[in-house]
Parts: sequence; C-alpha cells; structure tokens
Amino acid sequence: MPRIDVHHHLATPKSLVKLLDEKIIMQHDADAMNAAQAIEDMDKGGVTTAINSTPAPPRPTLENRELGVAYARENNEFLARLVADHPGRFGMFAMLPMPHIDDALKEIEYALDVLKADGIYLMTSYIDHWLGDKIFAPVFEELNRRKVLIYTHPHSPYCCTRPLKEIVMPDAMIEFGTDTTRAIANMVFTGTAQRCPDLNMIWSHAGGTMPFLIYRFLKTANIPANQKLFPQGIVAELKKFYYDTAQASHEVLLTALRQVVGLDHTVFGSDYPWSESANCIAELKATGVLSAEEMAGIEYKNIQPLLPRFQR
Amino acid sequence: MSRIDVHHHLVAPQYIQELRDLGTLTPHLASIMNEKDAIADMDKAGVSLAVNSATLPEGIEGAARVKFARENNEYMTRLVGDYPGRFGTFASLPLPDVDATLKEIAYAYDVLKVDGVHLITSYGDHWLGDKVFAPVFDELNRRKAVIYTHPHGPCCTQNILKDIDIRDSSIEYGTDTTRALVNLLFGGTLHRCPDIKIIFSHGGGTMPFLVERFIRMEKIARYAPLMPNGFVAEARKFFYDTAQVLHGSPLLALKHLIPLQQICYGTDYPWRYSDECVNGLIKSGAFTTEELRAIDNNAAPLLPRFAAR
Repeated sequence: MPRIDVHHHLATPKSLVKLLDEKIIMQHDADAMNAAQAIEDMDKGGVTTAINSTPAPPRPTLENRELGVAYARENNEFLARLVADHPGRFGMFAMLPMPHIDDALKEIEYALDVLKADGIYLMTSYIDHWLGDKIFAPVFEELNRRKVLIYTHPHSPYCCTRPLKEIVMPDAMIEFGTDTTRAIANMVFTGTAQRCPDLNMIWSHAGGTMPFLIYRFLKTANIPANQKLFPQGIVAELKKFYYDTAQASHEVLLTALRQVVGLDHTVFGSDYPWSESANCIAELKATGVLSAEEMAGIEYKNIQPLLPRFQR
Repeated sequence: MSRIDVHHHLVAPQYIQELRDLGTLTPHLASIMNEKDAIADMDKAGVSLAVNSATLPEGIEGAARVKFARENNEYMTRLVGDYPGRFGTFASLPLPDVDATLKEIAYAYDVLKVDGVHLITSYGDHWLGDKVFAPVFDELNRRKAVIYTHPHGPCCTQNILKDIDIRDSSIEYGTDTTRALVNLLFGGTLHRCPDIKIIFSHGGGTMPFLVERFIRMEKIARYAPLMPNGFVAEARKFFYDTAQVLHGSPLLALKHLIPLQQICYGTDYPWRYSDECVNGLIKSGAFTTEELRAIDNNAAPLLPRFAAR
C-alpha cells in the first residue's frame, strides 16, 4: 500500500548552512536533512513517497532578488536530482523566488517543463502580502492555466515575528497557524480561489486555525460586500482545498477539521525533519476518530490522483 | 431555570458617541448598547443574568482611560443595583497603566463589589503574562479574582489583509487570545498566581486547534516544572466561553479538550443576539440538551453573590 507524505523538507547543503546561520533550523534538524536519513525515516514509517519542499529562505535571501532567484533555482535542481536518484521515493514541490513576479513566472516554466516538478510550493505570505493579493495575480493565472497542485507552508510573517518576547515560543507554535488562516481568507475573499478553479491547493497543518474560526468565516462571507463571492456558500470553496496532517494528528484537530470540510481532502504530512513519520502514523491511528477508509484516504487515496507520476 | 451570559458588552451612555467616532460601534450597535435593549434581548432567550464588560478601545488613552474605567465601573454597578439579579460586572481596568490599575482594582472590589475584572489579551506589544503586568496579577491572585479576558487586534496585525472585507475579529482576535493564554502559562504567571480564575473568550481563541503544538512544548526543561501534568491539564483549569464559536468544529474541539463544567455560555451582545446564540449552540450538534443546560449555568460558581437569590 502506498503512503505519501506531502509535507517533507529537504534542502541543499549550502542552503542548510544559510538556514542555520539565520537560526531558522537547528543543527540536529540540519543533520537529518539529507536523502539517506530521510529515506531511513520514511522506511520506518512505511512512507513510500515523500514530496519534498525546501524551508522558506531567510529574510535577507527573500528580500534580495538575486539571492532569492538562486535559492529557489539551486534547491529546485537539488530536489529534482533526488527525484531522479531515488525513483519512486521522492517527488518535489518547486519553490518560487517570490515576491519577484517575473522571476517567479520563469521559475514556474523551468520547474514544470524542465524539472517536471509535481507542484509548486508557495509561502502563505511574502513580506506584507498574503496569497490572493493583487500583486500575485499573474502567478496565480499562470498556475491555474497549468492546473498546478500548490502546496503551501506558513512561516513567521513580518507583522508577527516572535511577539511573545519573554518566553521561548517558536513562531511555528502560534503564528504559523494564523498565517495559514490569513492566506486562506485572502484567497477566498479576494475571489482568487474562485477565479482559479483549476488549481488544487494544499494547506499545511490542517488549515492553520481556519477550522476553529469557521463561524467567523461564515459571518464574514455573509456581509453584503462578500456575498456574491460564494454562490454555493463559503464551505463549498473551503472543501475544494486540501489539508495536511503535519503537526495536526490530534483527535481535537481532526474532529474539528471533519466538521468543516469532511476528511476526503485530508492528506498525510509528517513535517520531517521536525517529526518522525512513524510517530505521525502512530498518532493518527491512536486518535481513535478515523475509520480504516478515512485512514487510507489520508495515507494516499486523497492525494494520489493529483500526483500522476506516483499512481502506480 | 437560569442562563448566565459571561460575554456581554455595555458601555456608559456618555461614551457611546466616542466609540462611534472611533469606529468601534456602528450606528446600529450604538442604538442597542443600553440596558433596556439588553434586557429585552436577554428576556427573549431566557438569559437570567449577564455579566457586563465595557468595550475599551485603544484610542482611549492616558487619563481618559483611567476615567473611562472608573465611569464605566460605576455605571455597571448602578445597573447591578437597578436590575437586581440581571447584571453582574467585570470591571474595566486602565491598563497598561499599572499604578492606576491597582487603584481601580481596590475601588472596584472594595467599594463597587464587582464580580471580577476584564482584561484585554494584550496592551501595545505586551501580552498578559508579561513582567510589566506582574504587580496586577499578584494583586488579583491575592484577591482570588475572576478574570474575564477579551481579545482585540493587536497593533502588529491591524487591518493587515488590505484587499478584502474582513474584520480583525475574524482571525486576529482568536490568535491574540492564544498568545495571552500561552504567555500566561509558559511565562510562569499562572504558576505564581494559582488562585486566579480565568475565562478565555471565543472558545479559547485558537488554542484548542493548536493544542498539539503546545503538548510538544510541555516536556522542554524550562516549562516542565510549570506544567507537571502537562499542557492539557493546565488548559483544563481555565473557563472558556461560547461567544462567536457557534459551530460543531470549534465546539466539538473544545468539548474533546476541556471538561464540560469549564465551558460557559457567552453571547457577545450587542454584536450577537441571545436567541441566535442559544439556537446556534443547539444547531451545532456538539452538545446534548443536558450538556447545554450545564453550559448555561457553569459560570455560577464564579459568581457567588448571585447564588443566594
């Protein structure tokens, strides 16, 4: 039985140094971010295929066009080599040098036409622009034209970096979830998601905090300015998205997610190297709230149709 | 039969216009934010007692903030006397002014006999649990206070989604509650102040949905002593209200995580109506009729002066 992990992070050795320097990752994370250890972890967790993505670049790289372009290109080529070197084991979500639109469009072409990436990885926000923002319209039009699978990942947004200064609380704990929620809101309330119906989008971590805030989404969709955006209701839009289980394999989260969008677009994610895949699978099974059929959906059935090269 | 609403906003009449000018209130909200309309709304849905908290925006600062707290606390106290058994008071405090706050705590408890205090989840770039607020929490702990908290959109996040029609209350409020809850717990305030009782608004902000993250933090050496039985054991000590979370998703998440007796009925009047909230809880499908009856009255132990009636 296949088991596909859509939330799996690797990067070039050069990028790992950069991420270490900026304290985005720790030494023991960097030590585990190589193909050999990743495959060992996948084997322990019964993961047949992991779709790799590279951690968000440090800010000096993101803000500098040349550095951003190089970071994306080098990592995309690195991930493509892993796909070739380990047939069937790795796929890739190519990174774009956003927020630089022209360069991002070039990288889409290269990543999909030359490197044959399985999809594109977008951050939930770039500087102070969230996905769905007007400035990203050309990128979304092109991705929609190509019917791309988009994997998204949150990060520390510029507005809210380490707001709790007196405690040691990585932004991943609170701020990441909210940034995903902002991006979801911006995608549907700008109408971007509706204008790009051929996109498939995966939101990390069970949708950030959106499922818990659903009542607010329902109310916001109902205000006159927003009503025409949702002819079938906002939940119909939210159900088109996919949601991964990375750092979200607790019964509380799965119960809440199920209530909003069901579980037929829920897909397995481990967050390697920040989690071990065997633990993630064990935790999902231990929740006691998933039927065997739902579990199989999460493990591969829900995502496999969107990954043509892993359909065997 | 009784039903207690812990999340109920009124403001002294002399401040209605100012809140309209600040954009906090729409004309409609301003027109119903008074005790007569509030009672009519409560009666429609069988709400016997509403504990009022005043909406105190950031735009009211300095001496005006001290005055706002005092005048609203006196107004709320008049309502308690004028409508016996119908209204309680969570006193406004002029934070971030710590000295003025300590004075207002003394006045509110010793003279006005309030039921608890109302804290906002953050003030400027300081969240509840920051060292600057330590004297306030120590005093509230000494008084075994009930603290009702309410979020807002903190400075760093106000109107950040510029292209869309969405209020800060939709996303940013929930997150700010989580920041405050986490800061109070992981910063050690709650360990130092075990006698306070805290109500978190809106089902705990986003905490229940992020619980897995916090469980992963509980074993870290610096935090383990603050939560010897883990994060969830600490989270289960708080009270959570149901305002603006009337859906099976947040309510079932909350129910899975928190003992039923810690979940309290709350409306968010005048932003939501009482009958809408009663029906929303039923329609969510998260609770049995018996559980809903319990939720209606779970705040009673926090409000001893109403027990005798």
